[in-house]
Amino acid sequence: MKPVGLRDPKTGRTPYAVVQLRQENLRADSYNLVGFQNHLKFGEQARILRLIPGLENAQFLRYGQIHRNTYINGPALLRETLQMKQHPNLLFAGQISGVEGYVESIATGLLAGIQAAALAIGAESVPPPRATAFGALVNYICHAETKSFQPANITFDLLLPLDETTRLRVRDKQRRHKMVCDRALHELKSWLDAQRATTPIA
Amino acid sequence: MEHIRIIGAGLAGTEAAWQCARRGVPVDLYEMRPVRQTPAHQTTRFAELVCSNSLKSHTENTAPWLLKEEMHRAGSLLMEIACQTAVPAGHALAVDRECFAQAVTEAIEREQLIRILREEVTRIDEHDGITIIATGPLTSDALASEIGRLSGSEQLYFYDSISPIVEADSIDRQRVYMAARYGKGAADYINCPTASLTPCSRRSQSRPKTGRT
Repeated sequence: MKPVGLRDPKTGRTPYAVVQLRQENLRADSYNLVGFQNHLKFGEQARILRLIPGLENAQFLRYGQIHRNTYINGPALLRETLQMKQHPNLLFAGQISGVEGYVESIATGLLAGIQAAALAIGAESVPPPRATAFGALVNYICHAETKSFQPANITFDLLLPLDETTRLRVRDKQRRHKMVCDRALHELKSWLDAQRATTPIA
Repeated sequence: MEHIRIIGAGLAGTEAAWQCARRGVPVDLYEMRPVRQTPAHQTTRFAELVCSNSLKSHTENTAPWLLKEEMHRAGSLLMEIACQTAVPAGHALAVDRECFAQAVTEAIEREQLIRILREEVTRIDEHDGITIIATGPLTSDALASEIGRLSGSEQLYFYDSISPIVEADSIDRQRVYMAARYGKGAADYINCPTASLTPCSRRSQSRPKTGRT
């Protein structure tokens, strides 16, 4: 929170302290509070953080949390097939791979199982499409920032956004979410059909 | 055909084992409980849910719904069992945790292509054949050490620590300004200036608004 070099252009003065917010995603739809990792109750976090100038009406997409959690630096170590870059015979799945949550754990287990089976059979296996929720999770644990990598649940932030034209045309958030989901399920079908051909169910 | 080794019979490991077996690939599934326990598990069952019993939103066109829907369509065993063992939970899919774990355990035990080994794995030979590491947030010390060896110990973490995230639209842009981190690089950071609480500073700063939605 040191205000060094952070003069406020409106007042011309350097404030007593500064809370910095870092852009979460390319679209700058959300910002995280730098250095505010904490384990306070959510209600208290909302109350206290809304004291910060500029955040009086903040809507929280996620609260701070700290957990005992063993996990690897996925972006440094994993390919999109969940194989280790250095040791392709080893795959990671579940929370140790850098996803958070029950459903996310099951999903990466499913993906690793399909990939491992393909390796064993000697068949080709393509990672899930980026536009799917599967693909969004894989993309996150493989391509997020390697510095201070933290696990994540599936959110629309991780999912591939709609193209710029569509986003300008469709203003209603619910409708945009539906379009993202429809697109994901459409691409999933093609991927599953291809999987069934190369690694068929016995 | 070579056996796939899967370490950990939690949510990820059991699903992975099932997907391999469905494709005719034999699996050796390792689970250290009850030989070694974790601080969080209460039973020796597979796929035990140690925190809440909720698998999150089941409302159509939400992100958690989408992931669950993709898993249904991909033939996930655990999603099928979750639906069979569901309990009423409003907009979320929640399960009876005992029935869920019991059903997953039984399904895995019945599957001929999955051999279950209740023992702790403490070494991983990276040349040894295909291995899925699905040992979860409470991976044992010995195995964590091995993973550290393979990954580089600086690439293995033991705590996650997450900052709060706010919606960009909910930030009052009149009160903040853009600047670089530590004054270096592009002005990509939002800066919220705060005042000291000492009396002379407080007199010269306006008090923050307290209205909230």
